[in-house]
Amino acid sequence: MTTTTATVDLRQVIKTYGSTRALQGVSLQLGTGVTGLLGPNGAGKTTLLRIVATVLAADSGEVRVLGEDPTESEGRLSIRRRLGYFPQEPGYYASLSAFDFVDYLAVLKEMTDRRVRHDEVRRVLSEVGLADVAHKRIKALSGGMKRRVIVAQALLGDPDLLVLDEPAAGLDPEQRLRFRETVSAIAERHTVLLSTHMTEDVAALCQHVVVMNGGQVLSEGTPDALVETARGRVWVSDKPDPAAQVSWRTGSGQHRLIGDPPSGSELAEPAMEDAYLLLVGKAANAEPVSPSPSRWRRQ
Amino acid sequence: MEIILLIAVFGLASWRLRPRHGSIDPASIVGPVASSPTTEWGVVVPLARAETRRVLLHPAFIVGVLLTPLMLVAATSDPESWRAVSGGVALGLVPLGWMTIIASNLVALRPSRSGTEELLAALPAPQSTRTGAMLATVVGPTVISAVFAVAALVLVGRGTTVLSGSIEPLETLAGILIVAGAVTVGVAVARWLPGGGWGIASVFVVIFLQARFLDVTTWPWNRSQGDPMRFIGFLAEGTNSGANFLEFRPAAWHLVYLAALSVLMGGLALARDGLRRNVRILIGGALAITLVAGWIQTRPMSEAQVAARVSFLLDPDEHQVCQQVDDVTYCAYQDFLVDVPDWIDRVGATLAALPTEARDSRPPLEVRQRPAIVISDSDCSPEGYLTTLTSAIASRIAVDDLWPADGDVHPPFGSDHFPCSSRDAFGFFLAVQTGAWAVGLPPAPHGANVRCVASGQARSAIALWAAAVASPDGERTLRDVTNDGSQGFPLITFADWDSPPTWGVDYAVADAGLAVDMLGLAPGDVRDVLADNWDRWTDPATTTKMLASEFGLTAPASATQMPSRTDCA
Repeated sequence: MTTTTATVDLRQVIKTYGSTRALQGVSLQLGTGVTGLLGPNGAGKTTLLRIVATVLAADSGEVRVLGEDPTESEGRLSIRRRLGYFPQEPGYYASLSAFDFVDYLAVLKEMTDRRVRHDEVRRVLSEVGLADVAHKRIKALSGGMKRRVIVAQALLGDPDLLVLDEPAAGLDPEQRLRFRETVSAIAERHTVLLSTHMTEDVAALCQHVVVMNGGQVLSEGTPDALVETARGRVWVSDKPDPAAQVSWRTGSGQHRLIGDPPSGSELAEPAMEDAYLLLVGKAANAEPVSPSPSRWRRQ
Repeated sequence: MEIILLIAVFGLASWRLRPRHGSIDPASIVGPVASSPTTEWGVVVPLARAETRRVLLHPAFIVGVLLTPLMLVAATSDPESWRAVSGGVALGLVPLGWMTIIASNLVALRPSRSGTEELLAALPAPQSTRTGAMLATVVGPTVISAVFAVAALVLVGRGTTVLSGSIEPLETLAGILIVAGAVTVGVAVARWLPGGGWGIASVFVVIFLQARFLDVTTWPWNRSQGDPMRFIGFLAEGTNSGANFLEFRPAAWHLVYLAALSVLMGGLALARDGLRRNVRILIGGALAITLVAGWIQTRPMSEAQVAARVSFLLDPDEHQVCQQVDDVTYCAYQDFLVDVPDWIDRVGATLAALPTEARDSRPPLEVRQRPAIVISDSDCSPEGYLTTLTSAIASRIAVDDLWPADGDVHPPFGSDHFPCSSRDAFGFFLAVQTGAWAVGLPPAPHGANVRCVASGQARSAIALWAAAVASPDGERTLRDVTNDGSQGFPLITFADWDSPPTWGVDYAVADAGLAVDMLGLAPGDVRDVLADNWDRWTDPATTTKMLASEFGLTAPASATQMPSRTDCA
């Protein structure tokens, strides 16, 4: 085993479900800060996060999380004690209040002192803006509030590693802003691994971006570096171009085109979304994916 | 039919209780973390507190709590002895046990039903800790059932009925342990068969096992009440055959057996998360204790135990306490002495209704307790008393020794009543025996249930009349006895039974009709008429037509198609 100081260190990790290869030799080293995981559905993001969260075992490859080996039970216990996890489909005990549910999970996080635990539950609920509805039953909360309950439980105990699988889905803009602030604050001291479809969240939050597709890492680096890969390949035109790699009509009535320059178009300032679409391209809808070589990889 | 019903219920429950949210396949979850005593016990206690609230507030448990008072009332109504009440309380707690299985099962299954399995899998406390906490919730339902049991015993104790014997806590504890065991069953089923329908199915399995294999008079073994193999059932009926001194079920060992079974189920639940050393020890120990306790329970009686019980039945003089009141001797076993005042009232009232010549013409009356030849089984069907005894005892008893034709009045164990009815007959059946003694008819059956027919004999109507006069609500009781099951048959019978089992005479329905008519006359006038010629009216040759004519009543119709039975001499 190669020693590393990275919080999450994956080397040639493979995971298959029957005949489907969810991860095909993924290697990643992640440290402090927020790492965004971008990719289309079926890219392998959730499988990767589950392995990091010790919920799923890799078939092969080396995995070390927080310096521990999750294939060993002692290592797994150590990781889970320092982990905050927001699964893709978290589930709730709908008949419990937000406070009781988070308190229940806090017990399972080995917070056995009642007074300390209750203080901590109040803190995390306040941090996600649920202090006022803490004693309402979860089934009476809105969809966004329910997701914030799960975010709150992930924050219990100020974990060293926060693994969040599409946590911002369903949050309104104000909640997302608050969520970003919370995650940013945690990321100053700890590692956050965030899977999302929302490129604006990645642009706003992440110091590091990993783009996956077809169970492979297509590219990784800083958000700015990712955006730069699209410079000179994003165009604005009055009419659509069938030859464009990706194109869509914007709210102003113009067409945004990604790929080679069509005639009569103007070069546009690239955004995170452009770079992501350029990278994933039409492969997002095609299986199996043939990953394009990374042209912007920075370690 | 039962299997189809079981499948239908299970299918419906499985569909209704299916996991509602997409969740990770539990088999793909990495597995339990390493256990350490500090980790687990530190978490188990607060977690158990939280889970106990969930179980106690679960709708299934609440339904059980609401049903329990009704069940306790039903199971302890018309009590005859504290032993019956103590066992009845245990029986009344059984439905709470069923609902506890469902409640604890569904609470244990909540992670998969709510889709939180993946979330919980990433937390330090492993499923074994959650299982341990779920098993620790046993305290809640146990305390609730104990409160119910104590309340039921207190309420029965405050009732007006005087009960023989004393409270038997070991009998009642069986019901409490059954509720406790229900928690472990629910959790074990949840861990090994993770689907809500299985919890409900397990209730049916428990009922099926108890009712079909471990109860009396059920397919396929038709176990007798005295068969000790029944003791491996969950709620094992006693073998007392109506009297405590005949009991040989080791009640304490049955409790050990139930407790060990519960621990065994708990161990099996924990084994789902790995056969760790302490779990292996738990399962091994519980299994060993279960087997030992089961084995001890099913041991046949020793020679001394058999001899003692045979002596109780065949040598009543040695074991009964006798007292004399108004020249009548009353003898009862120790446990039934509380019944003697009622006997004195009823026998005295019956004799008072008749002319003094009735006593003067007969040898001194002895009222001596002995078992009825035919009793009611758990299905309210008639069952020969000897068949309820364990074979070791029954084989040493000759029917003529236990039920000699001595001409005495013989109250049975417990009160004499309509089969499977809580209706109080106020000692009417004993009064009929007394009336029969007074008029020279055999009061009680003897031998192998030998009786005689007194159809058309005036004395039979007199005996029934005297009993009805001497008993509270006697006319209604006499009418009901007459109409209970006869339905065109010329002799009085209970529905689906033979004659009332403690009577030595098969009375004719027509003669009972005359007795009812005589109740319309002033009792003193009837007594005076009878006193004028007592020998004539008690002569077997004197007919009911003559009696009816004497009182100006309609003569009963002659019975047709009378069964060929021996006439009373």
